[in-house]
Amino acid sequence: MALAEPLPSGEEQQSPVTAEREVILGYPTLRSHIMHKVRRETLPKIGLLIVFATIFLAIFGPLLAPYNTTAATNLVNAAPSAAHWFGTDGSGLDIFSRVIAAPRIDVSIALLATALALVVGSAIGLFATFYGGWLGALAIRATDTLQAFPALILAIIVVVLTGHGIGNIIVVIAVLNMPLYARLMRGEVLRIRDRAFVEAARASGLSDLAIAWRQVLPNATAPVVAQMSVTIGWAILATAGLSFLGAGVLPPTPEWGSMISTGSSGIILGQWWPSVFPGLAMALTVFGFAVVADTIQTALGREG
Amino acid sequence: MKRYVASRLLQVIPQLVIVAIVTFVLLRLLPANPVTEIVGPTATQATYALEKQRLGLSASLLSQLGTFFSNIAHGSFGNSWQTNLPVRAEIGQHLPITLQLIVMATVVALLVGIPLGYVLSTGSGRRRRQHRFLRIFSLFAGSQPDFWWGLVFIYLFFYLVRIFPAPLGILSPIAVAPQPVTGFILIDSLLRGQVGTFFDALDHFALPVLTLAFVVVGPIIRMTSQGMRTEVNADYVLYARAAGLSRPRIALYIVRNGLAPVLTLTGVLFGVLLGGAVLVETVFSLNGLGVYTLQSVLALNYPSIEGSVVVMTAIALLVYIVMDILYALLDPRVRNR
Amino acid sequence: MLFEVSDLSVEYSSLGEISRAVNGVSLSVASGEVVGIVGESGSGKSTLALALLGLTRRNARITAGSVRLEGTDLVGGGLSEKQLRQFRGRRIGLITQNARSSLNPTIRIGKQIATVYATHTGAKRADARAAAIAALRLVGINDPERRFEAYPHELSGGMAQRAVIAMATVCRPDVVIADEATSRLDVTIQAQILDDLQRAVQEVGSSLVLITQDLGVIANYADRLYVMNAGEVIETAATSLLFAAPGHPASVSLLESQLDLSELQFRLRGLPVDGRELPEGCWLQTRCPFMDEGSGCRTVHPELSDIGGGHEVRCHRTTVVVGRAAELAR
Repeated sequence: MALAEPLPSGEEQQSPVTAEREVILGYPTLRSHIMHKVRRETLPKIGLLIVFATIFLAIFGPLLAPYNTTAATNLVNAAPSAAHWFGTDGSGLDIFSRVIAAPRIDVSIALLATALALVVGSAIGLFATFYGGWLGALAIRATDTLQAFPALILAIIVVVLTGHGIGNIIVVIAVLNMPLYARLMRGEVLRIRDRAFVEAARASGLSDLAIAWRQVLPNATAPVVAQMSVTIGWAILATAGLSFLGAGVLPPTPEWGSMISTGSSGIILGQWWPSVFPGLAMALTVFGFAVVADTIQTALGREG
Repeated sequence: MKRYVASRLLQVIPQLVIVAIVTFVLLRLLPANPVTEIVGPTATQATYALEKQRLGLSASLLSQLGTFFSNIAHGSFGNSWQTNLPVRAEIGQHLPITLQLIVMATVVALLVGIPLGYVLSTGSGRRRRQHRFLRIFSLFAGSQPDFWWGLVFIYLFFYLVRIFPAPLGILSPIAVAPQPVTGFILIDSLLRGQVGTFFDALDHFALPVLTLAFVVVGPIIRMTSQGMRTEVNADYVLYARAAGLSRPRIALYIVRNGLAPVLTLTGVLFGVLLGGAVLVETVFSLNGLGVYTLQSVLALNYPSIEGSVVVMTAIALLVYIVMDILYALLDPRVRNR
Repeated sequence: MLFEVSDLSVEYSSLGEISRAVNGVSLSVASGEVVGIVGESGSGKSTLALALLGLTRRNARITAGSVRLEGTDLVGGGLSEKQLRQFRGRRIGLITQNARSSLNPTIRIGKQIATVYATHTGAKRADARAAAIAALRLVGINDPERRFEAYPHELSGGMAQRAVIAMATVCRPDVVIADEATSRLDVTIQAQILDDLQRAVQEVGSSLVLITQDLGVIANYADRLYVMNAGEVIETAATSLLFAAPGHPASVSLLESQLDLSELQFRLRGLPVDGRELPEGCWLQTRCPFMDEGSGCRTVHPELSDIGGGHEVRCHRTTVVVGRAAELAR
């Protein structure tokens, strides 16, 4: 399962020289590393391809669908054929059409939730650490405690008790991921707060906000982008999981998780296509995001 | 060492209390109405008010919280609004299944993942293809949806090739459940000498355990590999070689020191599995705590929800502490923190 | 001759490029002798230290030469890892510069020392423990029974260094190699540690190879010196002779403070040569104030030549160097 958490890292393997270079020059050196990796190895290429394909489908999927995705027909549970590449489900809906239409909702939710978590979480982490004080400490403690909750259960509670709205799904996924971004920003601020050039900048009268903007943010870009990729992948899984349980996006909206759920009862009867195809699409998609995240993270960890 | 344990416990208790409060308050602040859920939309005003009173929802939020915590002090979460039975007892029935599932999955993932992680960390030049495969596999498996893979495994290993039984619960319909001793079916069946039942249950656990282990083994392989690689390149390994120490002993050093971060990860994964168990339990029709919680949420059964969340959080936090203790045992440098 | 190194070369590859860290180094150590190897940082000393045990870091390999301990070639003799392990720690000991990171952080130091002893002698726990405690006492650690139980992170820098010395000497090796054993330590402790080291080595009867950047340190302890630069030995002589009449600009550079030669003309200019791009002729031609085309500095790589009394120098301009140094010393 994709974790919303970053894995607790053993040792940060960065040479001190590179670390300095990175801080002073900012992320551009990292970007060139990543581009270099992407050009050389196949896996990152595949990851990027999958991500772009998913975004493409999110925008154009419903337009490209050969059949109506919500109008029930009589051709129920038909196996894959030339007419219906992925077969039809229990309501006679064409699975292929629904599979390529589903990214729109999954990806929209994932992107919005990630953006929200990113903005709010980073802001909290940045300001709480930069300004410190009891309010800051409290904020950090709060985000830490948030991580003690069983995530999926909390999501189920919020979505069910607020009535399955997509906005609620977005908010709860965002809230569950905020602590990560808060911690990321906190880490970045701590890393450079006591460095000499920050002292110099302060002494020369630069406001705290300007320092935060110019020094901390550029350096946080790479780890944040990596984390975003992880969050998007997790958000897709979470949305699908919630929908699978009936506590998320409700049918007949095409959504991978709910499609898998409706198809699940057929599995033991050998009707594999209603569950397998949406799941396959989802499996590939989240893998793609995981690869992108991994590419960025390896470029971060192993400086040449 | 004891001080370390004590300090960790002290950190955890407030967290648990906060989680309990937040859950309690959140349930009552969200717009759902459990009273209507129980009495129905056509109930009279009087019935509604009576029921609301009975459920304790008429009192102020603060006094409700007070009752909640005083109940907990007496070891109770109240009674389920669906069955009127004590929540504690119901959780006691459902929890063992989830625990057996997660513990087995974690153990399997560790038994498979740690050696593979060690393999991945050694010698980059020699076995390139295996290394690439392991790397990609661990990245892949760790990103996957467990509920879908559960279905895939059912299709493969039940429908196509009948190795494992139908995903319809813990025991086959004709099996006789053992009289409970501990509540854990695997233990009880052995204690009662019902070996056949034991294997039947194990059979039914196999696919769900495989599913969970599959998604968890990825991060374990990667963390083990990362940890080992850090150790292998460490100065003290080079120095141990310079001192002429034997290969097995140096390998032992590497493994022992490299294992510490894996412990922390295992704790985190355990917590994640616990919270996410509902997915796999649904797929395989297992009557675990996850499914119980889900049903309670759908039925707006507040006491059951509260009890489940508190129990899950408590277990997860406890596991984190245990892992931290093991970490401190392995690495003396953290003991003074 | 107890310990003899001939033409040893170590290559390492970094980012796809190969460079020679050690270039055809030869040296010898007699029984009971203390030999010093000096050189600026980047001269290949640490790589050499490891290679003397037949070890290299991950991306390096020994490409040529021999390292003979009482006749047995550790490097070119085709010895298996298993056979080499019988030498390492037992007949030849290594002391590294970063003691705390050379010790396993999760095992008590006493146990680590005892393990080395037990591995090589097959001793039982009690005997190994006794040997470890004795070794700790020998290197100047008071209350060794208590320190036995300490973890590396609980020790001060000096203590950790002593622990490493104890580990290197516990099996009473024939040769001890101390690679910058005190460079990371506080100046005040350095002398103490070196004294402890010297005493331990004498007590155990080992020869000692002291590797350092600091000539001043070595003056009091070494009988003979080798000066290294760019992975080569560029001068060797008895300590007193070298101090009195250094024959190589690099040696003079190092000796500067000792001879009170603040004359800038003796200093090597610039940074150490890049091991990946070595020029024809003398490798120091761009840095040396005595460089002279007529003498062949640009075209002929100088060999080590004996200028009398066991004093060998690798330089075309030795006579000039010696002359100038003597002049200024007056």
